[in-house]
Amino acid sequence: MTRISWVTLLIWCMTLGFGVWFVATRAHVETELSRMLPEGATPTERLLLTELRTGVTGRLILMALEGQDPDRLAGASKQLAAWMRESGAFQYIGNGAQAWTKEETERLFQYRYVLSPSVQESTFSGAHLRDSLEQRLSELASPVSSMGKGLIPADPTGEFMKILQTWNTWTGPTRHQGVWFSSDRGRALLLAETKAAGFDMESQERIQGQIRDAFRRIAGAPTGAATVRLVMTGPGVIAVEMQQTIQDDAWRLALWATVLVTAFLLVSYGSVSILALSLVPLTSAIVAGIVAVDLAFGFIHGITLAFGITLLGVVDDYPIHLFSHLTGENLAPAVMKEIWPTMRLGVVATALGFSALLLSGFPGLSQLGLFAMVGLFTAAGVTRWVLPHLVPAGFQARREGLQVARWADMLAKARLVVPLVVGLAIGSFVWSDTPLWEEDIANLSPISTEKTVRDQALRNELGVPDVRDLLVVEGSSEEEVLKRSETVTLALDPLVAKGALGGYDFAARYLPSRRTQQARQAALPDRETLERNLTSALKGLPFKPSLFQPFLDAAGKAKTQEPVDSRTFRGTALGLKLDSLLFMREGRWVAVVPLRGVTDRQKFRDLLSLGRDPEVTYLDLKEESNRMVGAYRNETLGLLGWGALSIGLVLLAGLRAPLTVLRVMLPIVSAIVVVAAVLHALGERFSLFHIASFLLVIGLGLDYALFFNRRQGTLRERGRTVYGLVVCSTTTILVFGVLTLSQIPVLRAIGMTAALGSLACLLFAALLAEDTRHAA
Amino acid sequence: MTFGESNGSGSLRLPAVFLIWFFLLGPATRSVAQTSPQSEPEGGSTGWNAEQLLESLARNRQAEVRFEETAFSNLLTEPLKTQGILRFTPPARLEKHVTAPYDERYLVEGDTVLFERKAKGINRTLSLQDYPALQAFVEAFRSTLANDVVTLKRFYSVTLQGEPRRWVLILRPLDKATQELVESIRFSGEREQVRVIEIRAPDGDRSVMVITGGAG
Repeated sequence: MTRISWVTLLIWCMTLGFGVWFVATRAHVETELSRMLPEGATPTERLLLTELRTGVTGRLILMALEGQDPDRLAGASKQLAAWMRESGAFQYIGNGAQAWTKEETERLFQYRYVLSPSVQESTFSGAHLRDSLEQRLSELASPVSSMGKGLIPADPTGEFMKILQTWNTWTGPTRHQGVWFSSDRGRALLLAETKAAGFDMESQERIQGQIRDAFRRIAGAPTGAATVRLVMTGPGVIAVEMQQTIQDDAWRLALWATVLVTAFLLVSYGSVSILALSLVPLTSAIVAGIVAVDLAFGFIHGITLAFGITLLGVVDDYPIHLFSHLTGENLAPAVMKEIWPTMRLGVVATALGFSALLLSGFPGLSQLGLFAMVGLFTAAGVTRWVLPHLVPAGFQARREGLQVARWADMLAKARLVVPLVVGLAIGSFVWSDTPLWEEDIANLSPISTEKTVRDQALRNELGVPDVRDLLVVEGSSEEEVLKRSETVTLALDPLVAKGALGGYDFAARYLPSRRTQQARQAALPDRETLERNLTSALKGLPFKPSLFQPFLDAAGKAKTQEPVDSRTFRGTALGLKLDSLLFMREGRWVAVVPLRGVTDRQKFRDLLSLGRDPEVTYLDLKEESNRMVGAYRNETLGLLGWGALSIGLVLLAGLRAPLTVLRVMLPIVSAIVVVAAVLHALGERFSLFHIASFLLVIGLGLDYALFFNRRQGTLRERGRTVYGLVVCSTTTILVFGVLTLSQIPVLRAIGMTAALGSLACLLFAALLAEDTRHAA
Repeated sequence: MTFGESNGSGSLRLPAVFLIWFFLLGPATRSVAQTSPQSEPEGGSTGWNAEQLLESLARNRQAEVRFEETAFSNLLTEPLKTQGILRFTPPARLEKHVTAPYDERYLVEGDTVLFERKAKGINRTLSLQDYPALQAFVEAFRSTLANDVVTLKRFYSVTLQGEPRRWVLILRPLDKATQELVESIRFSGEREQVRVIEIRAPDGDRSVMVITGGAG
């Protein structure tokens, strides 16, 4: 080796060493999903995303302890809840043991006259009081009512109970030994809200691990029939499981792909060292990509890493081109120099195609674009300047591929097949009635149906339904939002009556607006009137004299009491509930009204006459997220178009022959159309992930087409080129073909698109290549 | 959350407590006066015990009986009197139907409790399992009538006093929540007939239900 090559190698080793050190010590791999999500274009979108990131709904963990012996389950539930309370990682833990704390009940009782929905002037009329008193009397016919009895002197109209009745109408889980249970008593139920956000994957994974550990300590070793099992679900749990499923699947499939590709390359080149060398550009590219993204964004997302490595699959072709052109007589650096112009053009054009991603508003896609671009250039540079020095002298590809070249030449004669196939493909799109795009985000989810069913079942048992429909009420102050939501919910009640709506929840139910509270205070009669009404109501009833003195005092006090506000309930479970229904974001107050049992959304929308109030919005979260995903898909699609255009321009500049540009571009475009048609015919609906995979196909296609169109004389030389391309294509098909076996829709989409795309690009490139016999 | 949205049939903790004591069954005469809390579970020297009593009660129970009930409360100047019909259909259906001075119906079926007051249009259902104290209470009657000693002893310490001819069966709740509501439930009777069921609350309030006979 020359001195220059030594220097090059040294520089490369040091750079790579630094890169590896940086990746190992500095690079921050982020797993929080929300970091990948865009900020949202409209205020409603922003609200939705903020709620997703930090909201209570995302932080819920639903748990069930399953087993044979309900008593043992109840005990385990109590112990687990106690441990969780002690751990400090949770905002709220519910297992049925304490619905209301003493402090909360006292506060509610104290504010009963402003909180009870039934407080109005007539409540304290003589006739009404009489009615209430008779009802209390019939309740007193039970001496076991010691608990309720104590309330009678201070609250004869039963306002406290009415509050509970209005609020606590949730038909919650059944109980056994004071602990929530499923109706068959086979599972004790718990509900927890973590302090960490639902998409904070690291914290969620740690917390869930701690819960499982604590559970194992509590439940002890599994012993036959007495075994207790822990089932967990909820957004955070599902996110962690989803990540694990993807990782497991990816690892398993990657292993298969590696084995297959290694075996294939060994057969093709018959050299272990060549095999090892083919990994050099790819490894360098990945390291460089991570360093670049981390420097630019401050972190690299796990998903960027996974998809980025997929996109970089194309760089594995570079060393294969080099190896394929080695004849044993020529030296690697010289061969490299010879094929470099073609390779360079491919690299630049592909990088430009990927750069379209950089412009995307989706942080995830921008990262991906940067990662792929830097990786491409690095891999190309390493293949150009480092790899040739590492190739053992005298190495040659074992097969020369003459036969392959003859086939390729034969294919070139059948070029009319291409317009025919493309025509068919376009026709199949036109005549098909399968929807083109995947509109339902749920179908992209890697969560198994079994897990979704489990989640739904637990949600139903615990009474925390998945909120899909909600009203968003906005305003400039807490009071304004509360007043507005009180008005809005008045419009909801007729819909409940009509059956268009099952029910709803809203902050003002627990925290009435000042306006409402003051109206209730005004409805309380003055002491004199109240005393008179009470006396007439008591006539003939066997209540002890002056029993209701506390009532008269309390009503008098309530009339001048300070109104209740959100601070009143701070630090209680009710306060927590209020926080999820009423909050301030960026100086605006927002009240969320979750709707239940909306069956016919169109009808509901029609019936719901919100007027022209711009401060109230009806949101179908599912539709909204589908729409958002669709918007990003369209954006990416647009960027893809721009990418293709810029690739064409680069090619034009590089090749300086419009006809050759056409020759290069035509097979790629044809391949994409045909692959899309095949996928479509197979019933696939296109999503963001297909589009990202088409980018990879473009990269591969460019590479194939450029090499097919190199002007080269002899059949032998062509044979080497074509052989190299077949090897490239086969490795790609192997790697991505394995992915099609994945159970995860996203991986399957990528696998199918890339494998089919690689095959189609190679075939079309061969079919449309310049007929070299004329040139020769 | 401990509380959720929804309207529909409300289930209230407190009213639930109110209906606790209604499920009384059996024949009887008078409330039993003072009994020492330390009295031995088994009465008499003949080896006659609670199990035998329950067995004979179950053998002779009637599907329907009339009752008159008097509730004494320290909030009131005079006791409240009601009357009605009690029904028991083995193994798990209990009904208390107050017919006078107003119409009120409580029906326990399996784990569901239905409360109905037609005049006021009140009709509520709740699950027994949601209210451990209430469940304990219902079991006092259901298990006694169904001769289910095992269930009974899960909720109560059972004391039997007297002799087969004239006896008092005292149930004291084991569970703390129930103890706050019920001090004791006393069934007293003669031979295989329950005559009086008395429920005592910790604050001294009590109700005395006298079984006046078959409802035929």
